[in-house]
Amino acid sequence: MSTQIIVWIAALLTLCVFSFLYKDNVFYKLAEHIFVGVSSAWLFATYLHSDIMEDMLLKAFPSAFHQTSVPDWKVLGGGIIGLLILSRLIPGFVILSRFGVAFIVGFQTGIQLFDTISANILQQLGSTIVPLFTRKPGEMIKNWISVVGTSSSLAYFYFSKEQKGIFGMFTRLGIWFLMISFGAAYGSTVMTRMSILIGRIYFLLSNWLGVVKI
Amino acid sequence: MRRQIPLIIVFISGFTMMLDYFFPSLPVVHGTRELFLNWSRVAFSFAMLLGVFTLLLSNLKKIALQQSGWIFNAVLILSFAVTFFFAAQYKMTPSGSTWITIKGTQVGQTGYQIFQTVYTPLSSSIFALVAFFIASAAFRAFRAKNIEAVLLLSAAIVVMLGSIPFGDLLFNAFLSKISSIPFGFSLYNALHLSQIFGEHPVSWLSNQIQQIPMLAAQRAINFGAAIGMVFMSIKILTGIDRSYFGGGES
Amino acid sequence: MIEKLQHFDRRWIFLTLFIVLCLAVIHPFQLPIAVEPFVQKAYNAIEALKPGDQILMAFDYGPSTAPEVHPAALAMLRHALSRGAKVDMFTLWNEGYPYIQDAIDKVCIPMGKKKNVDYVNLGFKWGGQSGAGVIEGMGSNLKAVFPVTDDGTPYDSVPALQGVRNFHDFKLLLSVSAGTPGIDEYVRYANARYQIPIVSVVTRVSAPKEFPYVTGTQIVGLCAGLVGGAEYEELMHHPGAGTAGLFALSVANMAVIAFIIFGNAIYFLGKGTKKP
Repeated sequence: MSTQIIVWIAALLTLCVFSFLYKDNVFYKLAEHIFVGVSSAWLFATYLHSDIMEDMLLKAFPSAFHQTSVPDWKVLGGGIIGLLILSRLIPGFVILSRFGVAFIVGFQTGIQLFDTISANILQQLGSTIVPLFTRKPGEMIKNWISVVGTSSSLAYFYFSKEQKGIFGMFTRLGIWFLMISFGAAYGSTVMTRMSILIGRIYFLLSNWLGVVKI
Repeated sequence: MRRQIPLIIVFISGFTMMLDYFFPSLPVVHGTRELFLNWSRVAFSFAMLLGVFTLLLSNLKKIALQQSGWIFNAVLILSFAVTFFFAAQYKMTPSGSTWITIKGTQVGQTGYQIFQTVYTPLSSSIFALVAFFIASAAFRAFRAKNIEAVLLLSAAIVVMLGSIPFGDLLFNAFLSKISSIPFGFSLYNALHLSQIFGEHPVSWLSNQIQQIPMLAAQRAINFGAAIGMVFMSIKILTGIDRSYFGGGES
Repeated sequence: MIEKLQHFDRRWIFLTLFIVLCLAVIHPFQLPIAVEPFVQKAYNAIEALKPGDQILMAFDYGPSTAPEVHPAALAMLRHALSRGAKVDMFTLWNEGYPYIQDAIDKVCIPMGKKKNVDYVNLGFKWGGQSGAGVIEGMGSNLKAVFPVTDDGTPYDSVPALQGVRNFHDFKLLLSVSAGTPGIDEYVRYANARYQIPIVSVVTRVSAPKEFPYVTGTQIVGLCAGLVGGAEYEELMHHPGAGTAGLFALSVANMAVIAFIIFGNAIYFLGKGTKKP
């Protein structure tokens, strides 16, 4: 068993969270609120240092940080936009936050538009348009399944036309492909969550209780 | 005018980012883009801080009004204050020493220690809880009631079996059991299926499911989402969609 | 009896799962590992690196997903450094920051690699939920995004970063990601515009979403989850946390499959007894 106080604190917090499996209780609520408090403080501190200080204050006032680079005051514009966003918290000044939000929204939509078209549409289209008749039977079967699967799954999401008759049969095929996809995704989800649980059990049995040696 | 100015800002900031694709070597375009990238990093940080301040204000309000469970809100504020006191003074390095030194060197270590001791186990444990509920759902909720459900469950079982060594071990043990039965025969060997599926048939099947039908469906989903994102972006840039302002104002 | 089994307390399921996993952790067995094709491609991509090649490594995950992706991250970092590549590490997640330091402590220092010469810790930078501000910034001017390294060394004073301006100076982007911002954003912003090849480690749950990108021009290799990490350790002949957790994960999968089969058996038996 570990004699380090930090291991004991970590183990007890883990058990507080797991106590929720029996029923909701005060220990779980305590752990939950500590988690929210610590995570928001960590977020505040890291963003303060990495972006606000490094990306703005360091570049605008390098001598204050013992750097020799030339001051660039244009970067303070980011701080002004940020303060406009924070004005949401001050009653009567909420309207100012719209200008800050407008910059962020415009920036994000502008930067992602062309890259999304390139990466998620054009390149994916290119990967879907494959020869349906080849000399290798295995490759041919794979290509047919790929093309039929992609087009039938896409057809399922077309709700402007009633899904009946031949079109309905085609979309039904799309549903089957989607079900296979969701089933495989469920299997993957199980493995992800179990990996995290196994990590916690390893910690409890190895670092805390010392039953397992890694 | 106060409705028009934000729309103009949206258009200008978005259009500037797109212009760089057409005129990447023009200094004014490229320089403005670099500046906007810098501004965005700072602005996004402030946007996250808005969430933090909102959280603190709502908790402080509950404490001030002594609403039910205010003790927990006090614990939240206290844990925030303690963590921020240690974490904010230094850049987060385990050694505690940094170029933004303000006070002595011991404080930085504590901030890092709080992350490792408190945040890491809590974060992992809360996510690990879901594993138990997945197991419970597998027993109580997953029913093969129709063909779609059968497809879903079959794919899930094959993928789970194929991703772990047990799947192939069990299948090979089953094959060897069949071939040991008197007058029994291994269909697998008779049809030379081992030449197609190899030594790891269940893994092979799992990979084929993930790389062919599942990939096809996933591509369709990604494709549809991308088309939706593109049209939403165009609507936002042209001012047709203003839902991001909140309040439902047209 | 069937009625009781259909409605019994789910806490017994929780307890069964917990006990089964504890036993699997206490008494593990070595299992044979079959390497998936995508993991082999990831290995080949890093094996093709030459001494002096510069690569970027992103640690975009936190404590909630570290047990899944951290083993593969360590294995790939070890592989890249053993090929003589220079690794520049950064993260877009504030929770990922300590894992860079953990990777340095567990891989870089034991291998005798020198800070700022063989590896660089650029630290954390937030670029919004999409990371666009950071990724696009790195694509055009790395120094503007990271003016100093994590320990405060100015960019121009770092030997490993001499002559490095943007994505075009890197051979590979090694993305270890567990969500957003992560691999989707690197594919969209880094690869689509700057054509930097990407090798990725992702959680098992997000792997299906990334398979369409493993085209050879977008993502060149993919390691998914703890199993992917174990497979990569097998290729490296260096067992680690991934291999250690594989038996327990296998037992967990079998338990869930057993729950599905048992639950359906009870359901159909219950339907059979209800029919007149």
